[in-house]
Amino acid sequence: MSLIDELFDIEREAYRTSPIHALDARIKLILCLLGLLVTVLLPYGTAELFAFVVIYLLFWGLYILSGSSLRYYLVRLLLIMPFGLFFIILQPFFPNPYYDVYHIAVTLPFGIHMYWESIIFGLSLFAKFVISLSFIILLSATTTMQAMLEGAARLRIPRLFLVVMGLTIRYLYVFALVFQKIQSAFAARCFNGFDRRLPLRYRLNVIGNAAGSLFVRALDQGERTYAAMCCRGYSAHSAVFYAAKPLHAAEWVFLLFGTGYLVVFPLLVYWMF
Amino acid sequence: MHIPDFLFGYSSTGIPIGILFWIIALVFIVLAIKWARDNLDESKIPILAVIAAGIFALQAFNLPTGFGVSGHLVGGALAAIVLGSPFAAVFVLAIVLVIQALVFGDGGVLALGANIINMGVIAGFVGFYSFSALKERIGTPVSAAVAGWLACVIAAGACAVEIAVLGAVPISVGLPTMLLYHALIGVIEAVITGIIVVLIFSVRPELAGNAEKKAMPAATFLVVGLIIALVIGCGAVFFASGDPDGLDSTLLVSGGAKDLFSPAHGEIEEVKDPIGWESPMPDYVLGGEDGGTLGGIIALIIGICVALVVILVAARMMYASSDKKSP
Repeated sequence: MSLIDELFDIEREAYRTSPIHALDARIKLILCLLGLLVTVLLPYGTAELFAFVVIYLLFWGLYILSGSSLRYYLVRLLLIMPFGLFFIILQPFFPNPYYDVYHIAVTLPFGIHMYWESIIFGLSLFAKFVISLSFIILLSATTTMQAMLEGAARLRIPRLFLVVMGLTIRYLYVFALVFQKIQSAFAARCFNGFDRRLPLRYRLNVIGNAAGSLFVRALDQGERTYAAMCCRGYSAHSAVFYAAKPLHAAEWVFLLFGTGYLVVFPLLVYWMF
Repeated sequence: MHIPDFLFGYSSTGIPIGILFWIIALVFIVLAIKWARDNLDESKIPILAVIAAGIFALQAFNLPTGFGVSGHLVGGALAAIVLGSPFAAVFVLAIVLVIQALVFGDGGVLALGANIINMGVIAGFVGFYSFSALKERIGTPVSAAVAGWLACVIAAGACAVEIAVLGAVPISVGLPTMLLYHALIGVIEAVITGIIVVLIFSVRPELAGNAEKKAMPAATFLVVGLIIALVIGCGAVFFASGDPDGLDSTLLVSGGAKDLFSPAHGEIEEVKDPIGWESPMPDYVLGGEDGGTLGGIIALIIGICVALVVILVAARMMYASSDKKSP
């Protein structure tokens, strides 16, 4: 499964309605980044585990309120994990510089050991990994990409960047559909890239040519789109106008309490333990 | 090859290093925009945006390696070769990576700087320059393939070094693992890159000329190098403080001063009896001597609950007063 298959699921989820979906994208962007930052920044120690619980609690409160399903969360979490998991799984096999004394948990052949301290350290990293991913999942499950773009514009992100991002996001769906058409054409011709009865060379050739034609289509589409934009009066200084949108009083409360919660409580818990 | 955020939380230097990577990545993004202005004229940047969407779809092709492992294209070398400049790759991959980080959670947000450096800058520059150096000698398809392989493997190596600098995995473990794995994945990336480049150059022959243009004059290259050296130099101030971590022990290992699996500074105690093992949190007692009192803990828990309730109620109130639609 690749990211492109997720694209439509994510957008479908983001277009639902719920109290969290209705919040201004700016608030969600800021709180998500703050949650991520606090999670990553918490120094390593036993107290950190309690602080994690506090942060994770906020995530779950918001996630439940957003009405997204547990299954959706777990599936997305599992799909993103592999590469990060690679570093966590490596952890137990070498002593890291954060402890002074190491205790061997398991001795394996070739002089390889697993260390207790490193196993516990790996678990703490795992917690950081899960929580930081959870915030991104919450953000993307409750905010459409266009809303994120609008939020970013109101947060004064440079114009050029927004124009480019806006176009990419729109054409992401076009090429996701093109990709799916190629996949169904493959299926209709009974072609499977992982079919071992076909020579590898042949399979790679077919996939390479399909991928190449997709790239050529992107290139041509880019030029056509640009020409069409010029016909409608596009210039280097064109920009989408986003009207100012003041935050609702309840949104201010949400933002202030959310920020306060993420900054104050994990730190308080950390110091207290 | 997408570095996740949690690796930046290893040591006190994690965040400064993350910011450093961001600065270097931003320098290259600014240069890429400048390149686009000079070579495309600013208004044509939308074309690159659409190509970024295409590259995103291209990455969805699952490629069989023949070893039961599947990989997918990164596309840095491909973008640089076809669009005729490593800066095009920086631009396109930066957009793709931002979307992957913020929407899909693939690759971290703090880690974006590092990821753009690996998959955009390094893959783009290595891919482009190895392609243009080899093209005359060994022909377009093979040189595109070699460029694709080199871009993949060197970017993976850079990724391993960055992770070692972050103190996550010692370079002695991370580098060989990453290089070996990506040497295999790279073969597939190489073959596919070769096929795509040949196809595109035969369909759109005018693009083949692009790849011959020199992307950056030597003077600019020097200035960029100097800027990066300065940034790294300033960053070194952060490294100077704190414990010797990943990179230091790497240097010790490579200098033969330290065994691969012995601790950087500590002892390993062989404990056969797990009961004899001291808990890593021996001093921890609920409300212990330097901890808070029971009363404090209760107050804290109540505080957390109250704040949670306020946050959730505020969201609900907002929803009730809105038209119940997504913004």
